[in-house]
Amino acid sequence: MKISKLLITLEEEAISIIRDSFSKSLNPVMMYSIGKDSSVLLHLARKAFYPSPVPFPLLHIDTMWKFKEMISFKEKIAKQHQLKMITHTNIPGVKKNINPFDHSTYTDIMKTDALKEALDNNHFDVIYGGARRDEEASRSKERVVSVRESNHSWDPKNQRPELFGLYNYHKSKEQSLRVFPISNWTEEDVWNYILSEKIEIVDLYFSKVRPTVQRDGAWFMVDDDRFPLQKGEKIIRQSIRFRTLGCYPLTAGTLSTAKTIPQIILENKKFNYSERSGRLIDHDKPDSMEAKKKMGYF
Amino acid sequence: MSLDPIRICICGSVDDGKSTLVGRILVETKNIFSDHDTKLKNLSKRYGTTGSSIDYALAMDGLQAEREQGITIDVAHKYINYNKRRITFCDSPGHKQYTKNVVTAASECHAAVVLLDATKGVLEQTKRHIAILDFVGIKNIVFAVNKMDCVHYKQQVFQTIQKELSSLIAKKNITSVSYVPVSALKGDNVTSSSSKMKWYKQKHLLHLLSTMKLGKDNNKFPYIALQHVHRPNRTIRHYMGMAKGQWSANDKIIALPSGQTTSIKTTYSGFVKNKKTSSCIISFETKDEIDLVRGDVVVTKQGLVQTGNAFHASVCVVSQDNLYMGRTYLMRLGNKETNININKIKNKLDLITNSKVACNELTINDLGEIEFNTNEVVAFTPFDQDKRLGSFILIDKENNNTVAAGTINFALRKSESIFAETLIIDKKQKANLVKQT
Ligand SMILES: Nc1nc2c(ncn2[C@@H]2O[C@H](COP(=O)(O)OP(=O)(O)O)[C@@H](O)[C@H]2O)c(=O)[nH]1
Repeated sequence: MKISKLLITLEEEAISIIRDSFSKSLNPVMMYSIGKDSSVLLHLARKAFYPSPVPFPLLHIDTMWKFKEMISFKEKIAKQHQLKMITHTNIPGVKKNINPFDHSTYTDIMKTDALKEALDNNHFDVIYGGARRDEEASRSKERVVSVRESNHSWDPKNQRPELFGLYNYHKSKEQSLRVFPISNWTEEDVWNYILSEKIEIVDLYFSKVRPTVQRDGAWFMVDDDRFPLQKGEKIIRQSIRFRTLGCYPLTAGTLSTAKTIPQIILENKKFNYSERSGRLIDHDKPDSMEAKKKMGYF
Repeated sequence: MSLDPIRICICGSVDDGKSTLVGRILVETKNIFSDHDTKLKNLSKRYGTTGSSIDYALAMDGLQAEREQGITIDVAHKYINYNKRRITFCDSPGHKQYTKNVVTAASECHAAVVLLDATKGVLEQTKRHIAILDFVGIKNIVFAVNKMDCVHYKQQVFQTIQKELSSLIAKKNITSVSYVPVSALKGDNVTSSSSKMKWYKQKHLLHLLSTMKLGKDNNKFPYIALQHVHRPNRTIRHYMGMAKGQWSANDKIIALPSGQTTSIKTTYSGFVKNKKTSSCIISFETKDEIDLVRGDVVVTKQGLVQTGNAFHASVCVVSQDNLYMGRTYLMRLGNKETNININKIKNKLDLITNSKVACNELTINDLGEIEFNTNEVVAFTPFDQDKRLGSFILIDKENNNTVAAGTINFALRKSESIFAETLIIDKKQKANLVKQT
């Protein structure tokens, strides 16, 4: 399949950002969430440095509540591309059994805190992420190279100007830089790129009969026996797929028959729901994503 | 379907209706998801300024502080597919205080929409924004006179503003201009033609944006701007950069500024080895070891890309720190970073009289001209010949802030700098002057 002019432009921009920031970094790392955006980002990094292997490690924050298929996919990909994969978990959180069912602070503790801890332990200065501006309102405001303070916080009111694509990577020792090479990609672009570059993604993105349960009007997959069924809830086997992947108890699926990428693209257009509508993390308050980002979340 | 990407900067003064305009375009082209739409309705109840109807502006103002204060602080990026184009809207803030974010938005765009309030006409901010657009090299502008509903859709109001605008831009390098009367709130001439302004014979705003002809990049001169030298082991060096033109193995190359020559041994573009490539993303090995580092520029023949260490440039100050004569800054020109010293602050643009006035320092939001020396000889082109090799930023070495954005007008040689001071040289003559040396 011929790659479109739009995708070529987006690809060139992304690879250019990856190389440019890598050249100015001392200890870079790439966030790897195992999702489709991370898969695209990884593909771009491989392309950027080919024939050399990806010259930085990948970091995965494992909350212990990811879909099982995600974890096995991660291990396979790491082997396949000879990647250095760092996995970090908030161990005290696990010991206290912080879980998505009982604790409203679950995301803060198991994701944000774990991320900050991993970044601090390793002293990473440039941190690549696959966030896109079309995902959510506060993300549409963030710079490609985003300066984070010593506690990883983001100050949206005082962002560094970005001029002519000439990024300024200078920072103090305590600060770090979050770099978002696919900022300007839309969800549709990501799918089209996966299709034309034949990028491997987790099978959960494709519709399949899975054990599901309905809660608050959304469908969740019962990935293991830690999902406590409430009164009246029943496991139903039916065809669902996921538009984003995160912790399985917090990621709602979509009833769907789309088994191929062209079908997914077509169906997404019809649905008219944003991809993050299945992510519970965004819904608590109108500005919950922004609040999380200010605290250091991606 | 193949889409052509175009980025459009939306600017205008506070409350001219930028966010309302882009918000409406998103909603009417169905580029807003229904769950975001529900959020929008909820937000409208909480923060809205439009009574019981949807406040489209809230689709754009993505930050809590923005919604609470009802203003736009930073650039929002929104994407739509329309008429075979991927249009990216960069909605920029109107407050003078956040002008640096307008420069940020404009410097990455191909074209701009400048919004005006029909009841207020041309304001100081309008002039500032036009000057900024001119500074960053934007040649296509659509002026949208908004809130026509507030002036009973009168043609005369529109014409008066149009006249003032056209005299304002007469001296600028803007080559393609159109004017459209709109009501962002009521939806006139935004995504469909208005029945209330029959006197307006042109197409609606979105149509203008989706068919606007962008000036072709007329620099065909091939070069590679080096971004990174990758050393996977002791013997191999992969030179990585942004390329223009076609490249293949065995091409003879000249490295600038060193002037050393060799030829290309191997090329990689993506996962493809040794195929003639016109991809912008290239990586290559050379036959001989030469002096080639990040920031250098590789060419196949002498010509467009020059070398120099003293420059005349236009700048826009984007930080609270002033730009002083005699001060040293770190400059990033293309991919090259080196120290510079500002020898002279020549003038700044007075927005009221639209003329250049002499001054000793430039403060935040000022546009002006300076002369500086670089510590090392650097490869460059004048900005109007190639944006990538002719634009720079200045960084404060103490606090790492980006102080100014700049564009190279021409290199200074001794004889030339005398010229520059005594004569008023227009852009064409300037280009000729540079070519002669
Ligand atoms: N009457 C009228 N009001 C408008 C129009 N466009 C925007 N407004 C109102 O003007 C105010 C400022 O609009 P906003 O989009 O926030 O302006 P911004 O600061 O340029 O983003 C809001 O109350 C809008 O509802 C218009 O075409 N007609």
